[in-house]
Amino acid sequence: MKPLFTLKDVSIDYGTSPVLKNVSLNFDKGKVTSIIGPSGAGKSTLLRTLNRMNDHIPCFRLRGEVFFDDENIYNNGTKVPLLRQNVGMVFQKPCIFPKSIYDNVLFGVRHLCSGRKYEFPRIVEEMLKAVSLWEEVKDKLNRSALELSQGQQQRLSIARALAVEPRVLLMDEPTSSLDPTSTSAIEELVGRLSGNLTIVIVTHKLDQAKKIADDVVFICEGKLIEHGMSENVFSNPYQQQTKDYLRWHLCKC
Amino acid sequence: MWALSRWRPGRAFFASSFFISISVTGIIFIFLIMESFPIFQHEGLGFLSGSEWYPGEVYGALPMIYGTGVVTFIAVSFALPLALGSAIITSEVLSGRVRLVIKMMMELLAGIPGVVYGLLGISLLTTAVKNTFNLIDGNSFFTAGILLSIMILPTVMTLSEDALRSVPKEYRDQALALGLKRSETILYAVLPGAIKGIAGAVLLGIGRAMGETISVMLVIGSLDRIPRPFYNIFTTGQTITSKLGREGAEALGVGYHWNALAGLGLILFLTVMGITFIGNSIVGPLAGRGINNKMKQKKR
Repeated sequence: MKPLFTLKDVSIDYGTSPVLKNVSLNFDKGKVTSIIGPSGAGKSTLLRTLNRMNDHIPCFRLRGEVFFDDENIYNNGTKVPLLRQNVGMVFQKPCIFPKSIYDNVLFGVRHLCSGRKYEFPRIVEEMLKAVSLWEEVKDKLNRSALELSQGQQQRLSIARALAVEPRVLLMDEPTSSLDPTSTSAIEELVGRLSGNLTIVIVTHKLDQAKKIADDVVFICEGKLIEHGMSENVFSNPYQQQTKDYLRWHLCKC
Repeated sequence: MWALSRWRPGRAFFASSFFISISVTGIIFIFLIMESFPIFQHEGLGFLSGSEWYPGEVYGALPMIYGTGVVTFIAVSFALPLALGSAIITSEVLSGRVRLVIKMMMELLAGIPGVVYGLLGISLLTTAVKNTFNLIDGNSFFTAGILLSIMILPTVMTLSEDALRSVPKEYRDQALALGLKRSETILYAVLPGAIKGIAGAVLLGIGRAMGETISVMLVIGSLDRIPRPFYNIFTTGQTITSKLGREGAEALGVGYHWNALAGLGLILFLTVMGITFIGNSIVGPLAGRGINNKMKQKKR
């Protein structure tokens, strides 16, 4: 199977300090890939490279090539908004606009495909059902989304990202600010969404990666240490650094 | 609350400052009401609706009220798009260092005394307006409005910029990540979050425009009349402040003339107080609410 994303020799720095060093990597279509590593390893930077969200950071510089569907997304002619429509993103902290639940789900759709106005109620219902939020909020769609709990807000963010029908969903530690119940709700959701959707998820919780990921990428201090199927990486890693990290949560790279 | 048993010098200092400033405002208000009372007795509501002003005979404030309204309207219509545009560029496009320089320059502009603007106005703006629109006299509502728009521009711009900056960065990231263009992100994610702060900035700008005296006095021509047709803004006119500035000293204590000027002062005082109050109550709680929201989220 042809990979969806291909990174070739990607190095990134913000001014002076290198964040990623010569990373070459593939992300497969329809799979859940989890990026693990200690904090400061460059996990988020790697993730945000895939939808060019790093562009807005001052002094950001990338060398190497990143292909999405055989197209180098760091070429000059790339339409970045279109790329981001295809590659959705969910952030660490749920970002909810001070609007109603209904308007929050539609935030992207409304501005990207305004011609589909008559479909809006259907989209809202479908997306909220997809993230298992519909039953909880169906009677208060016009209430402010800020009234929702943190976990519900994160699921709402996912619904909003799904509403623009992306092919890939990037998740940057989506459960780090959530309680255990909401966390398992999101983990279950990721399981359900995979298949149709390619998911790349950054996490520092190893049990979470073990539970939901098909593939695991381990990076440390900007270097790619190991990339393989989840069961292989967790049960029988090739690299000594991976072994150390899995056992002691430490890495010397 | 003001428990004197727990006497502390610091608290006494703040309490007395508080009471002094409150009572000064109160005294001004009472003074204006007392001084203007005779003219309302003499002219009745005709003082507000009359358009003739001949000292010793009749006092109608409408031309001045009209002038203040029109000049302020022109000032805001020109200043708002410019201020908002430059606030958006400064806050959303420019880098941190350039932004600071621009803000500093804007704050310097806000500090230039009105009379300097007035001198520039009579030497440059009146002739420019006169030549451009082929007028007999360059002193007009329009000239005063343009001059005021330049004067309130820094206030409106810096406060709007603050409002835009106070919109959380997450909103921008979220909108961009959904595939919105930069311009759409500003329009749909940033501006709605800043709209209250911008409204407050505009109201404070209006307050400043209405109260500005000397520069307006120098370029408006000072004729107490409502133009015909009323929308002809290229004629000379009068605002409340320019009227007070010109006639205040000579009318002091001269019966109804003085009372009428105090009446104009009262109208201006109430309007500007009202607008500034609304402006502050929009800008103030907004900043506070942002913090409250963050605290609420932390608690969760």
